[in-house]
Amino acid sequence: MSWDDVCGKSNPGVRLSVCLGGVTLASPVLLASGVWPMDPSLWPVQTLRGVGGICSKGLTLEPREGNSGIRIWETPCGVLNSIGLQNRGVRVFVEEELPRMAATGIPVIANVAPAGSVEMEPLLAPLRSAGASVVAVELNLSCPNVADGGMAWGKTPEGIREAVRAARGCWPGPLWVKLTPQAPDMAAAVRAAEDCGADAVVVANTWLGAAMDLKRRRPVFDRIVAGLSGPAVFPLSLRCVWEAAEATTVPLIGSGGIASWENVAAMLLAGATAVQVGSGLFRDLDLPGKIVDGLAAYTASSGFGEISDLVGTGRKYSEYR
Amino acid sequence: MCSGTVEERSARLVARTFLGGGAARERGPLLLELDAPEIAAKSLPGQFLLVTCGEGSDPFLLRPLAVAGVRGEVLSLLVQVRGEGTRRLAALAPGSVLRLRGPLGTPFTTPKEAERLLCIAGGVGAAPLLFMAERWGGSVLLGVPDASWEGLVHHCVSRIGSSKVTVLSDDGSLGEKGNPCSFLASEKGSALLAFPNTRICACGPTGMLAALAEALPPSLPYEASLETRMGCGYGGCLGCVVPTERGRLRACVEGPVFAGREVRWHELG
Repeated sequence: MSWDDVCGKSNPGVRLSVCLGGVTLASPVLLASGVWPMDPSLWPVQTLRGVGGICSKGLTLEPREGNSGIRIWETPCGVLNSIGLQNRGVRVFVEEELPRMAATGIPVIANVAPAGSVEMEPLLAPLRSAGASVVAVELNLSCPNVADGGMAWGKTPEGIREAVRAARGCWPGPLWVKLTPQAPDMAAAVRAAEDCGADAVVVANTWLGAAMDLKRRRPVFDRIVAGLSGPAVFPLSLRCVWEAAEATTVPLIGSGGIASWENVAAMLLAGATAVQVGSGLFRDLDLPGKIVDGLAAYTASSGFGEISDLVGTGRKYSEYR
Repeated sequence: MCSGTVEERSARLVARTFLGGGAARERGPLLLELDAPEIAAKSLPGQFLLVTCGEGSDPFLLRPLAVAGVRGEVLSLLVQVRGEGTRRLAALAPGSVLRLRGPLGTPFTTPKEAERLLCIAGGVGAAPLLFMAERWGGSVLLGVPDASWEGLVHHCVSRIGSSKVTVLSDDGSLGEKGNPCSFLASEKGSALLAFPNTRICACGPTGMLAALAEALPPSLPYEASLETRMGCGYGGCLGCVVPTERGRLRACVEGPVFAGREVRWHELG
């Protein structure tokens, strides 16, 4: 399947492509980091229709085996996860995984999770050498499931500035920053990313939660806390995008609980230029295709010619401010 | 290139049979038969499906169920009610349409011609082993709690023949008293294991699978199918990993069938 086949011809009158922080994507629907295999031989082909790009699993400098114990726990309309950045490390990614992913023709975004500023250069250097195979780097300041991950950075504007500045210094290409919804002031967080050179900001990642195992009388997860995603969090994510859009002109990528084209339309109306779908794929492998079909029809019925014409149109009513 | 064989399709439930007896029959096990020609044609013994439990977002996750048999275009599953998701699944009337994702995972190793297959099943863990024995021949040791499981025994017998099924029950109310592990430790069981070229496949409670890894003679090939919590099913989320001598491996890709002696049983919760 080539990339030309990927983005459906669901409504030929409507243009699906979006411009996003220095990158043009054939569709505003991205597969979020953490839900998609790094091996294309495992990719369910039906999911690729409507996909504008794929974010890699969170990459670390050295291989990580991820967290012990239970990693996934169902909640009402959602799921908690505690995977812990299991990955084979950035060098194996660049040498083995990326070439195969890039050969599919679908744009690949490298999600990187440095454990500190000193790791930024060695983590990004192999990606620089990969050239055009990486269309953007997504700096993960939001993984809630590791002790040394970026969520500590992502919670304060100062931390975000430090991390984005460091990344900007060693990555000349498009730089996206994935924020955490645990940041108490989303507007300040997104401004901090913008100030230090982010080309796009992803709002946001999973929400910190926990679960208790009543039979064993202990927390379900070995790390106690875990990241909540799924339709349960969608209204929270939409609120974050609204607040972020208020504070910045940098393109936003809405993420968190998206499970329908209506969710995506709401994100775009609130000011997002694109979206990421994650655990929504756990329920529906056709989700990206259904989203672009629904969005194209909605765009046409709204009298627009491009999906991107929808961006921010829900903000025009001053009584909401 | 993108060559994944996993697909998600709608399938109609053509029959639902209660295999459990007495007051608890609603809890299962139940036999669900689905009209799913494409997935049925691709499924191999040991592989599984993710199955929706109904419309809407709650329960959110699909439920992993081993393929329990394929006859023509009809694929069968065994369901034991464990929680809300499986309760809803068990309540679906024939004619209902479900979404199936699969076939998923690595199947049991195909036995060589000279090999003699011995399948060891605990309760509803019989599912993949029935498919295995039906496809490749071999006999089944089936352990169940008590006589309320008689329907499952009848189902096994109807699928693979009474001479192939040895039944054990914890309270002795069905077949012989005991479980597969105690049976294999007996004189009769040891004789069974002493046959040359025996290959063991097992599925059931983790405790049983771990005990078999300890008890079976190391010379016997032993594969175990594990049950885990499952997110995506296609190898993306890494929510289902199993601790093994080769590292943390995905039950949905490298498993659910693992070499029984490579699993770090003591690390499983």
